[in-house]
Amino acid sequence: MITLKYCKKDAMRYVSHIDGMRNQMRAMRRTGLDVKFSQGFNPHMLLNMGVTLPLGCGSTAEYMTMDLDCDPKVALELYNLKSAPTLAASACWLSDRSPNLAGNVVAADYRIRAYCPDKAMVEGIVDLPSFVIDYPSKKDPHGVKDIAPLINAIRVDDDYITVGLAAGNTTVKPDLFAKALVKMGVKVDMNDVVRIRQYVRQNGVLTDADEYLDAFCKESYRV
Amino acid sequence: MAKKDYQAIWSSVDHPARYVGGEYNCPTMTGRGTRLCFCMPDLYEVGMSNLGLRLLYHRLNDMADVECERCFAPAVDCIDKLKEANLPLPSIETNTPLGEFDMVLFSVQYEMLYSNILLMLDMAHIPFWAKDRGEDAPILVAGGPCAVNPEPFAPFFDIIDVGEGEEMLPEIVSLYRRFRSRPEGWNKQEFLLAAQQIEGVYVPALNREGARRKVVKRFVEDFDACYYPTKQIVSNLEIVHDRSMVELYRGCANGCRFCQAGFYYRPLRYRSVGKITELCAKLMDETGYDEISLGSLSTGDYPCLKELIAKLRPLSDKRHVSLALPSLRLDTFEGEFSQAAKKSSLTFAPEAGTQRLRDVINKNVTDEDIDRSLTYAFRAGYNSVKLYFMLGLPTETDEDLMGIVEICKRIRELYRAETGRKDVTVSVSCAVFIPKPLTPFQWEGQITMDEMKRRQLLVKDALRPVKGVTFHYHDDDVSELEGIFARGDQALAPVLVRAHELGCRFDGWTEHFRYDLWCQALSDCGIDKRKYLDPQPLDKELCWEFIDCGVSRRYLLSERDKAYRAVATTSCNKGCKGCGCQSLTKCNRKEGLQ
Repeated sequence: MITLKYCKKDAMRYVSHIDGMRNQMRAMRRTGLDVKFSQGFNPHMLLNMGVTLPLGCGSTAEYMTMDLDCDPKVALELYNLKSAPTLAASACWLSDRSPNLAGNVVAADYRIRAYCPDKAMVEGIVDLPSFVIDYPSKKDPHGVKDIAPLINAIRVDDDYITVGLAAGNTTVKPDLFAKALVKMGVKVDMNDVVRIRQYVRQNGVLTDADEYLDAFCKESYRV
Repeated sequence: MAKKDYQAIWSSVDHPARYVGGEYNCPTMTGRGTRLCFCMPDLYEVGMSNLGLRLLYHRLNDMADVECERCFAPAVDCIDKLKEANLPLPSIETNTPLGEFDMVLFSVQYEMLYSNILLMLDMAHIPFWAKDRGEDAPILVAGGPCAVNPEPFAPFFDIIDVGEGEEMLPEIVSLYRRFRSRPEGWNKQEFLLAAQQIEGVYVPALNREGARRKVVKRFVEDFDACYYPTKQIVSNLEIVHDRSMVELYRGCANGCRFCQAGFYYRPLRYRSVGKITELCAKLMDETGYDEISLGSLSTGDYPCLKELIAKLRPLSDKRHVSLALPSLRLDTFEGEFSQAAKKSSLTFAPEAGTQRLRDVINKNVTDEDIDRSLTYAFRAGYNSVKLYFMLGLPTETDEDLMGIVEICKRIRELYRAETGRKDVTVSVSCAVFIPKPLTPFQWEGQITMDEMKRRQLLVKDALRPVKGVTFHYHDDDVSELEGIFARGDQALAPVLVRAHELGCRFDGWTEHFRYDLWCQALSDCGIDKRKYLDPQPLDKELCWEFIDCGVSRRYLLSERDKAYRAVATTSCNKGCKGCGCQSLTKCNRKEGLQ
């Protein structure tokens, strides 16, 4: 199994999860690497994407795993040669089994470009017993959600707010969190919301997905 | 306009990937040199599926000091947002408003897109009428299949390309560059005068009714050697034809009398097996698509199809790429051409229900062909068939319409005999016959909407008791409008402007089509639609006949005469029929194909 860590920036921010997966399959075909296919009636490439990212959000920490046995350096370099620079990979791991990041990731950090006049107010969100935000969905366009239990951390710097939110099976959409900040009077650049880290839970502790992969996999290569 | 302004728009619309580019194999733009914008007046997903765009976009970008960007018609939500922000329609690659380009090139694929041309010009803040645009406005060029009769939209364009663009467009762009850099300075009128010397170029402002200058359609002589990009742009979102495409040949040997493409794309020119194999291998490696379409007007007629597939299969199987063979005729389909894995549905176009009517339209398909091909298909594992027919063909009777029902019943029986089961599904789709320029039926009348409805209902009711058959038919009002514009003249240009003012756009999309507004536009401009829908006099020159596509008027008339006698004309592969294309080049040359 090969797991690639890649970015998603510029135009790629507007490509949906399913279209993104199709693009990655095409990129892997272009590399000429022998990624395995399913044996069914309609064979498809055995490639799994990590947890979804809302449309419009960028990322420096996306993961995909494919059924491929090769040198991680070769896989990464060929992938970068044959894919758009806006999807460039920065690390690659080789393992015997799938690390199942889509199932194991429970949290992620997001960096939001924002001007925040009241740093304490924003950082204080993490201590609130309840933080109800607008959370529209297809089923309920006027839905709301209390995300207080799903916020892990908030840090405010000069130009950015970094927030740790639940991701994976139970998730908070970072763009909706950013919109909630706008409602609080924070000046947010909605075009600059970037996922910068993903976490899995190991022994009750949040572990950076990179560290988890380093421990799980037998070989790795970083640019 | 700052790029940031557009960013805010893209972030707030549906499917933003339509507007932001960044696709794999998309050339890097610097904003220098001669700047062109290739426009498709339809949504990204439709426009990006067009092979012509893929060819010409890369062809123009391969020219030194030339950059060609793209622009598609924005969806309705995006139109509203751009208008609200008062931002002009920009290109995809650099978000440059269309008005800032040197040349803006429109590909016009069919009549129902005419209103979208005006929509895009309006949104780009470019004046509609060529005569209203000044010296420094972009040169507007139109091309594509509708150039066979460009008259309804001709007054909006400076140049119309008639025929194939691979060689013609670079020549026009080179000429433009020469005129822009000449010591005496730019002069639009002089440039247009020089442009109309290029074969295939029609300059409407200099070629008016009363003093017509003949325009000879441009075509690529050596199809095997002609430009074909293999580093094709790969869309980031799912498009209508999401695959690579290679043309096996251009033109068609069959001469179906209703088919404009069959005559327009003559002469017949083939690509060799070796060249196609080379292109397919490169496309698989450069694009990563999981499907390659071997396209042409009738793929089964490619003389070396079996050899080609034998060569391609090992390459495609190794890469898990499937080969798609669209446009198979019933008389050329064999089970071995069917897809190796997924056997979902096969599509055939008998076009008419009885042998008599198929002879009238020269669709050289017999009942035996239908039975034989479907037996192959069912044996190969298919259990779903799509059939295309036309209603309103010249000389059509109710008996011919009932023939459609008989074909469906026979398909069910064939399936049962072959498989012992009854689970076959037959999807029948009926379009309305529209007399098109450059066909033997270009003088025919189009049936009225009431008659369309009657015939549609007749077939629908007769198919109702036949199990497993679904029936679809085209909207009669859209077909009527298509008929008006197909044979329209320049008097329809003000109708297009009026329809645009009234809000007509995306007329090919059922949910956006407004027949009432079109009727109002025609009425406001004092146009009687029957002028365009009724039979045209045989002795009068038709408004598009100053365009010479190679096929002679005499040949078209002789084919029309044979149609009324229900006499079929055999395929060009069984001997040249003297249509006139030989005057352009040697047609249907098969030497060295393997």
